[in-house]
Amino acid sequence: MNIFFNSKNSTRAIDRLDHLLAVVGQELENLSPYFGVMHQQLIGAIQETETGVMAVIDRINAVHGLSCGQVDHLKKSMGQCRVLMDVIDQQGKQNEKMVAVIYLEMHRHAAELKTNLERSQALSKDVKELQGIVDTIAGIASQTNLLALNAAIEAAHAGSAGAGFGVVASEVKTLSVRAAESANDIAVKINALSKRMDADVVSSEQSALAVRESTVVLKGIVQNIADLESRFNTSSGEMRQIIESVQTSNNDLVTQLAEALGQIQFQDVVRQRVEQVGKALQDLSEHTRMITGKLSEDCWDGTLNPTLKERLDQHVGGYVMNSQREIHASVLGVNTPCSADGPAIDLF
Amino acid sequence: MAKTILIVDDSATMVLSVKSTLEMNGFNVVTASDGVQALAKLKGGIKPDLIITDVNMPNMDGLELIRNVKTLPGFRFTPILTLTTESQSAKRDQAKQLGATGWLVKPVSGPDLIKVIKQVVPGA
Repeated sequence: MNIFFNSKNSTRAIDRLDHLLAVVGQELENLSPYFGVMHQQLIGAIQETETGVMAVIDRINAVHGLSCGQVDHLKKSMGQCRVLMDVIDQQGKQNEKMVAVIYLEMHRHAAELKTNLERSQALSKDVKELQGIVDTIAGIASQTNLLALNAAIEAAHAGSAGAGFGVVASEVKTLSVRAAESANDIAVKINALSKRMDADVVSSEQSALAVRESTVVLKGIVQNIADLESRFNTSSGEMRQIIESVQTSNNDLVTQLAEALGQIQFQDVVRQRVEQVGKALQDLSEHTRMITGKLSEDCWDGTLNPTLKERLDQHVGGYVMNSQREIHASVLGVNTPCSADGPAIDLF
Repeated sequence: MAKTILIVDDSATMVLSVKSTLEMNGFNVVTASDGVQALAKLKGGIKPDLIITDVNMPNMDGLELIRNVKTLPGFRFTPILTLTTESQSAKRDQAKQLGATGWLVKPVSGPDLIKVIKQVVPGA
């Protein structure tokens, strides 16, 4: 009875063990697709980060393109501005030459006017002084005429003896009359000349005044042109400063974008680490398949090749970063020899 | 005249980020996704002033690429920089022995990369 009981218990225990083995075997079998799903999830995550990072890089390139476009646009504007400045500069130089010539001509003209005016004024004065001489001549003629009249009377008193003297007196009278007529004629002409010369003097004075006024106006125009050139030069200088400032900002932007592009490389570092985890999952999957297979073997003696520990140790050879090796050693609590990180930039 | 640089990396993000950095700084860029493709481009007539290569790549890794490039006619003196996450000093030493010009560890900032390129490429 007791023997039977023990045998019955043993059978139940064996059945239970078989059942548990079957359950464990099934679970181990299910681990493989489990790891496969996780592996694919990791690959999907890597692809998503890759897509995202590439979109960011595209955006960075677009920002750089826009920035370069603005700088090019400004450079073109500056080029046009320089052309305009050259034209204005050349025009300014031509204006200076023309103004110098006009100044010279106006000064020469003003000097001539002044000389002519002085000459006219002197001449007018001289002409007016002639009037006194003419008056003297007229007086002399009048007195001569009177003298000739007296001489004719005296010649008449002398009779035949005074006949010759009477002829002379008559000639003298004739001369005095002609002298008086000439003096009168000269006086009329001097008077007319004097009036014309007075008019010329007034005209010359007005011309001199007009020249002075023109000079003032010309100086104003020259000053306006100079002010215009000065304002344009100031504006051009400011524009050049703005363009240089934009250029500097663009260079800073390129530096910042280049920095960002460098930092984006983290994705490749992370990708390699995640891929290593993915390989580990595949390795685990392989290991569970191996155990499942062994469990179904009647003659399996419990040995595994490789063991899980050996598989874990093999991962060290697949690491590329010291940080991976350090984590591995840290978790296992062992001292895995890993060389110190060399310089990040090492030129041989 | 702008210098030409060949970038060799199996990571599309690495290729794009380095390519963008270099183009922003006025370089011409040619790319390849592994050593085999890079060698094919060199044999096909591309004559870069510098090669920047990853180390761990499928088909042909960076060290093998360096070895092959150094035996190619006309490329013996072409400077080669490695740009990698690899930190094993043995591989770094191997690259040096094979004739690499320098070893850069990812991630490397854009300005630092440009600085190094100006050091190793005459007239860059």
